[in-house]
Amino acid sequence: MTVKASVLWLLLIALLSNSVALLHASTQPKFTLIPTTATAFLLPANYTQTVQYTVTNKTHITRVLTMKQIAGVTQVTGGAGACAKPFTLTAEQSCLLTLEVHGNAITRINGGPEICKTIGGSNTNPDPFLCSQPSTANTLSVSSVSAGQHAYIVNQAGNSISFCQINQVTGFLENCAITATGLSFPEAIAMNTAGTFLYAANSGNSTISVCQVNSATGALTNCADAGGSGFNTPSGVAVSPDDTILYVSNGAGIAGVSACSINATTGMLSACVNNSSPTFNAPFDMTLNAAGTLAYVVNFSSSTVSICAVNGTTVNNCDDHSGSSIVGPEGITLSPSGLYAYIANNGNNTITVCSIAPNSGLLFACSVTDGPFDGTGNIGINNLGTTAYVPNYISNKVFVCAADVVTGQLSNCKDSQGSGFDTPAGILLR
Amino acid sequence: MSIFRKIIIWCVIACPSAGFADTLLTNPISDRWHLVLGLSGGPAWTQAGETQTFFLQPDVEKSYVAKKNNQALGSGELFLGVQKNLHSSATGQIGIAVAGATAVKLTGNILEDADPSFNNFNYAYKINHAYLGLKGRLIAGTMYGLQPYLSGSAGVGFNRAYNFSISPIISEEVPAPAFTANTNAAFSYTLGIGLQKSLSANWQLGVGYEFADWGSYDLGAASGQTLNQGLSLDHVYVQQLQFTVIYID
Repeated sequence: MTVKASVLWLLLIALLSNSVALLHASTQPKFTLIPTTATAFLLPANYTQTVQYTVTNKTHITRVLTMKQIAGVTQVTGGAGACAKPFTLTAEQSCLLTLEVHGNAITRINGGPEICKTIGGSNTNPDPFLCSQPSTANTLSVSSVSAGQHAYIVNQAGNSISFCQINQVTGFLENCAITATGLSFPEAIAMNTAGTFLYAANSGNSTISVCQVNSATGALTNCADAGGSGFNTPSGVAVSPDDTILYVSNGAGIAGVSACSINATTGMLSACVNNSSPTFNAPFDMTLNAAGTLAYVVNFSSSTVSICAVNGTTVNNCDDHSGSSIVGPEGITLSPSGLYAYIANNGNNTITVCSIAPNSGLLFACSVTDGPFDGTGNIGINNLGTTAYVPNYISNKVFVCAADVVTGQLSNCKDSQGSGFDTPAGILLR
Repeated sequence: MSIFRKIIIWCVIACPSAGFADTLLTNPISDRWHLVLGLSGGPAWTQAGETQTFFLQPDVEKSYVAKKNNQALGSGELFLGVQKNLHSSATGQIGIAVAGATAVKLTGNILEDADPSFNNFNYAYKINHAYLGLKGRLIAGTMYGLQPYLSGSAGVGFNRAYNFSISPIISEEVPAPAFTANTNAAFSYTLGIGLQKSLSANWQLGVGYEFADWGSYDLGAASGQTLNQGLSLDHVYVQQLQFTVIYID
């Protein structure tokens, strides 16, 4: 080999040596995070949303891993296959990272979650020298928006209340969980205007329960007997607009409609008076108009609706409304506009919608509308009056229907996809 | 044989010989010391960088695979010294050289866990170099109107490594903290060869090749790093073409 050829070979080797290290190199995440839920959404300030990723260790080294903290996000470690905190993964091993994003603790999350190896020893903090995250399309992208509505669903046989978030786009019920227990065959619920107390009518033991409402999350706590007296199979409740009086329709006996004073601090009831009327006949539910001047009481046995004047604890001068479309009514709800009354008929498993006369408050033009109602209780309507939620006692489902704000008609009812209900009865949206 | 080789051979063998007495310097022979001020500049080339693998934490090892691309930069030097005739056919210069160069950018790839399966990041950083040294030049007698010279210097190189950055190749990867900037003072030297021509009794122009070893540098440890320092190199070799203007009093 000539000197010239040798030099050329040396140059070639030098050139190649630079590339040898990368000759077999490839690119892949050390730890993959594949989402099993949506990761980009708008989150009402009073909502909590669950996000899950499958985390897999793609390296050849067993690693103790942890998530880099994100403000407003907490890791849930329970459940089969869930990632612990921290968690150890051998090569190609996976676990399910479950996160709860709290709308009241964020403004915007854009990125992450980052999974890092722990620093080691007793220090379980993330080591920034070895971290991975989801691909750009799968990173957390969450913005907090104004508070959304929750649905409270009475589980009559379950003696509890379910609590769901309402998807603001689809109207479906999400993240449903039991928020109150220890009730007695509850049939109706009502919340005061301040949103601090929720009352449940326990038809099983003829009591009223009062629960405290978490102002940030809407969750219920400390449910207890609200006191008061004279109740007999209470089946409907309503709170006066000034939050001073609770009205209770008693489904059995001659008690009619009870009216009790509310302690503004404790929510406890006292000084109850019973209002009777010849029109009351098994009054299984009731509600008030927005001004609190009229009570609408459905009478199961006579298939009528009593429209009564309300003045403080006095409920009288009832006007009876009947019609062929009202059959064994179990629940009544007024639209937010005050233009329509929705009556849930236990007798023929239908929903009847009636127009409300603007001045007198009387009902007219009643007709059956859509809504797969079955069982007991009342429907719920969102604050825009555009979506109605119909309980179905038999199928343990809640159906969501479109509500026409002009005609009052319900349509396009479908499963709300909420879960965990047990003989759902009354529904309240706040 | 190329003229370049002829010059080298001539410089090494013939210059010091008395046989060149008839090709004396164009400058008048003087035994006194002359002040010399030289200004040099020109393009330079380097292929710095080497692959390094080390632990940053007790259980975090990474390989930094250098891309040894040839890159051009600019260099300059100021020389202040004295000149004295050493022989009828040789002149010597000695003095202080202050030199500098534009930044060198080094790039490469990072293999996570030192595993080629995880070639997940690019890295880049820069080096700045300044130099202060004692420099000497040996200038031979005139041949074809030109004076060949040899030069050499030794001194201190101030090497600053800075602007280290890591960019992920895929969006799933999160960059580690960056190495910090650091300045090293290191032994540095130059060796050069060239030709110069006297324009007048006081002015000379020259062109030459110079090889420089800037010496070592290292980047500082990243925030939170518990083992070793940043990337480092014992030698940065630079080849430069120098155009020189010299003033002799």
